[in-house]
Amino acid sequence: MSWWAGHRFTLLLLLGGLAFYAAAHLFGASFWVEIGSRVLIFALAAASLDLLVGYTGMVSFGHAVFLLCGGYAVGILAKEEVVSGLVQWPMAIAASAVLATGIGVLALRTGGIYFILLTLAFSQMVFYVFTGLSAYGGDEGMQVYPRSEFFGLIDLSNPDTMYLVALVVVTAGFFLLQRVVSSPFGLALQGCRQNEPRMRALGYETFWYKLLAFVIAGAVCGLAGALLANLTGFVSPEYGSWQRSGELLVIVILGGMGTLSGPLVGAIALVALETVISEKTDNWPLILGAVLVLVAIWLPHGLRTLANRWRRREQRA
Amino acid sequence: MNSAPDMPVLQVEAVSKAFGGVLANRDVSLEIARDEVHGLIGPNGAGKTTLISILAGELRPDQGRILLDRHDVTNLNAPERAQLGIRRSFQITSVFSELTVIANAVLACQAIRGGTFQFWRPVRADAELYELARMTLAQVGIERLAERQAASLSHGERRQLELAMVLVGRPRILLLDEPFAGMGPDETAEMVERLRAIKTHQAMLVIEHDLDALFTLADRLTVLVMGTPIASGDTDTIRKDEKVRAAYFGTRAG
Repeated sequence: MSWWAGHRFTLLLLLGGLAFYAAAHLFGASFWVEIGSRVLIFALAAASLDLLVGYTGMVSFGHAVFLLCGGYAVGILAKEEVVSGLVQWPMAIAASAVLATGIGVLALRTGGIYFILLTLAFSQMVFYVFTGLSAYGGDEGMQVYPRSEFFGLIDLSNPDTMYLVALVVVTAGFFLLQRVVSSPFGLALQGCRQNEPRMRALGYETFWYKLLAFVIAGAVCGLAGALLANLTGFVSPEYGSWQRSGELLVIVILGGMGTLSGPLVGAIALVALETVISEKTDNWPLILGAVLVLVAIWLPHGLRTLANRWRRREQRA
Repeated sequence: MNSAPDMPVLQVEAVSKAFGGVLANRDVSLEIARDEVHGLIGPNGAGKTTLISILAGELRPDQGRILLDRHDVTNLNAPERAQLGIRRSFQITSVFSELTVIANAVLACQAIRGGTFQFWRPVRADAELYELARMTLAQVGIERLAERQAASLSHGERRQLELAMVLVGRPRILLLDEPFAGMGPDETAEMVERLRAIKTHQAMLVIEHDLDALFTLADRLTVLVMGTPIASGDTDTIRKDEKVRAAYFGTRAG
């Protein structure tokens, strides 16, 4: 596989993101820029979850806890007057990696349904810890003020700047995930998903592979959390609610598991549905539910396979 | 390590294993030399697969010891034993169905060669590893299937792929659980030939119900009944043994 083939998607993401930015301004719909930032951030968070669900076969139902972790790392440091993004963002990544190590070591002792339950339980525990953390807003949450600073050169409270920074960081995140899934380590993760007894019989201590995948996924999602805190200027325990974890799973499944383009397609679809339909009716989850049912039945590999279907139909015609 | 030709590769010493109140293996002892194919036969439920799982490290014995090249490996788990060269096949063929045949072989090769915690360079850029994987496939004559998805292979081809994977890195001993199960006569004959070709330099413990095939392959046999070895010896001895005929072949002598 050539270098280009491996990273075509990452490059398309960057170019597509720039094209979207240009189009939003051209048509004067600059509120779309903020929505674009949301899409990018959730795409990265969901892609990190897909490393677990789609590649390694571990369904985590608590992945939003790392959004919370990354978001609060930025929020708390800002309140303590550590405002440099060059400190905040690495701290968001490191704190999430440490948290993921702790959760992973315990949750990975189990598998299947118990893994789902344990990841949910741990994320709920963290959620309640932050609910009671009155120094940092308790269940009300807290303002992220000021936003992360980069030598006064980048103003993240400006939606345009925020979008462009998110685009660069998210592209870098996808680049990293792309390297991971196509590496020897990534192949071993696929082996763990498909046939763990065979992996062990070949000599792989699968626990370490799964733990490392869990830590990488947590760290990347923590970075997404740091971005989200800067986008919204606000963090609250809701960042890590179980509904949010469910949303991330919906994005992965809607877009297509086991690929990196899937979570991006899923994030676009989810945010677009939310934005467009919630203007017309409060019952938008009803429509989302219907879409999910249709996708599960007709497109078991997710929305991203729609393009392939059309292509095939054209060829047949 | 490989001093005398008759030095045992694998020694099983008084291994017992119970599930709840049911004794699956009782006081099983056997030795396998480094140039030996050892057949393990017995009626259904005799504890043959349990024994293989114990030897592979997937189950812990309640009592007894397992020695590989005279080193005690009883407390090592399955991946550790696989790294030391105890490699098994499964009764139901166990490969990575959604991957290509070559990717299956690559996974087997990198397990032994190491470097699997390398996550920056694409695995496909590792020409040396792919060459190794192709040689692995060639060894059992399936290199033409390299780009096929493992799920699309016939039963016999999947069996060959699994054999190729467990052969990587010259294991000390192969544990084969019914290698001919579900195969037609032609496929069985082919597999027997393949195993005969490698047996000159490869120790094996083979469970098999197809006794005709096993008799052409094995040097020695152990008969397991109700979890206990009731006889052990070369194929002629086993064929003539009265107890074996009664318990296993279901016929009285004479």
